[in-house]
Amino acid sequence: MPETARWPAAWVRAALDLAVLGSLVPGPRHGYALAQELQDRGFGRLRGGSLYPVLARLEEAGHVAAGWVDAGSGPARKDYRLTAEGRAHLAEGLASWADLGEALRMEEGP
Amino acid sequence: MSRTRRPEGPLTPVLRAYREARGRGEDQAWAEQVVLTLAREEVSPQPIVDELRDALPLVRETGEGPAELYGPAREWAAERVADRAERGLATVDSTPDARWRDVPVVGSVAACLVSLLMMLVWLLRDGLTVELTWGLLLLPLLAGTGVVAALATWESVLTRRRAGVAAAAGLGVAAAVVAGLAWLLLGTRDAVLATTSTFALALLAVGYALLAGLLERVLPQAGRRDTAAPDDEVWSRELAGTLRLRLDLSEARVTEIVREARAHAARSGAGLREEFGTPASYASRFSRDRVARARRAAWGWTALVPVVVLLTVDRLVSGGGGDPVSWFWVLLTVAVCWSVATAWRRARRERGRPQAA
Repeated sequence: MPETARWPAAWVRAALDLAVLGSLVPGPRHGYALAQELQDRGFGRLRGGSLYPVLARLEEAGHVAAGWVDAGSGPARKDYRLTAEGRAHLAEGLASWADLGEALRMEEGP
Repeated sequence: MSRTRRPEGPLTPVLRAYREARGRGEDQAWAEQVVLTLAREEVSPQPIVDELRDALPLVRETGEGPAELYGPAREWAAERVADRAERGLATVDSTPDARWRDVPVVGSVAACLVSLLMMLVWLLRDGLTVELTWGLLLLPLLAGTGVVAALATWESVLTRRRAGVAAAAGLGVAAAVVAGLAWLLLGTRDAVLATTSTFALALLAVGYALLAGLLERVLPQAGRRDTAAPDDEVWSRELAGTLRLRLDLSEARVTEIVREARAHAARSGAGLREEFGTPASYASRFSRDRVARARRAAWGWTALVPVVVLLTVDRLVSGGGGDPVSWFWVLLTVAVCWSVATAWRRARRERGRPQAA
C-alpha cells in the first residue's frame, strides 16, 4: 500500500470528509480499518491524528453514528456507520466535486 | 546611569512590529483585535505570535495595511484557528496558565490592588483614620495569594482529574483561605499596632507592588514542559489534561478521545506520539463541545444564586425595605436568576442542535 497520497496534501485535506463518508458506504468500519481503506484508495497513509478529528466532526454533524464494539481478545473498537443524513451529504458533495471538475476543464480553442 | 528594561509580555514585540511596519497605529490596533479574538478562543500566546509574525512580511512588502490584505481581524483570526486545526498545529497548551511559581507574584499584585480598594472603602466608611492591626496589614496578601493559589490548584488538579474533583480541590483551598482570613482578622482585632491616616494604606499598596517586582526578578522562571512524551501512558495523561484545560469538552468526551486513540495505536502498532503528534496539537484538532460548554456556563450562573440570595437577605434584614441599597441587591438577584434561566435554555437548545461539519 503506498505511503504517500496520489494527490497533493491540500486536495486530500479538502476531500477527506467525503472520502471518509464514501468508505462507510459498504458498511460500518472502525477507525483503523478506515485509515487502511483510504490508503488503498490512494489517499496515502492517514495518521490517527488526522482521521479521528474528521470522524468526530462528522459524528457531531450527524453524518455518521458510532458505537463501541467488544472485539473479543483485542481492545474494544469504535465502529462508525453512515447515517441517512451522511448519505445525502455525500451525494451532494460528490455532485459538487463533479461540478468543480467540469469547471476546471478548459475546451481547446479552434 | 544604566536603565533596566522592563520585562515584556510575549506579544509586545510583534504588536510593536505591526505599528512600526508602516508607522500606523491602526495596524497595531488590527493586530490587537486578532490577539483579543484568539485569546477568547483560548489560543495560547505562542501560536498567536506565530500567526501574526507570518502575516507581517506582506504588510512590509506591499505597504498595504493588514485590514486591506487580510480583511477584518476577527474573521482572519477565526480562519487561522480553523486552518491550524486542519494542519494539526497546536493552538492550546498542555501547561496550565496559573503556575505555582506565579502564585506569590500575581498574589502580591492582587494584594496591591486590594490595599487600594481597602483604602477607598475605609475612607468612605470610617473617615480619615484607621487602626492598623497585623490582620489588616496581611489581609491583602493572604487574600491575593489565596485566590491565585485556589486557581492554580484547580488548573493543576484539572490536568490529572475530572473537573468536579478539580473544582472541589480549588474550593477547598478557597475555604482554607477564608478560614485563615477570619482567624487573622478576629485574632488580631484587639491588638492595635497604631492609629494612623487611612492614606497609609496607599503605602501598603506601594509595599506590595515592590514585593511583586522583587519576587518577579528573584523567582526562577517556570520551565516549559518537555515536549518529548516518553511513553503512551504519559502521552495519554497529557492529552486528557490538555483537553480538560480547554473547559469546553465533557469528561465523557475526553475519556472517549483518549480511549479511541489508544485503541487505534494498539491496532496500528505505532506509538501514540508517532500516530497522533503531540498531545497539544491533537487536542487542538477537536472542535468545541457546545453542549458541554453551555452546560458549564449554566452551572456557573446557578452557583452564583445562593451567594447573591444570601447577601440580599442579609442586606434586607440589616437595612430594611426602605434602604435603596437593599433594592439594588434585590435587582441583582433578579438579574442573576434571569441569567440562570437563559443559560439553561441555551444549554437545552444546544443539546437538540447538530453541529455543522
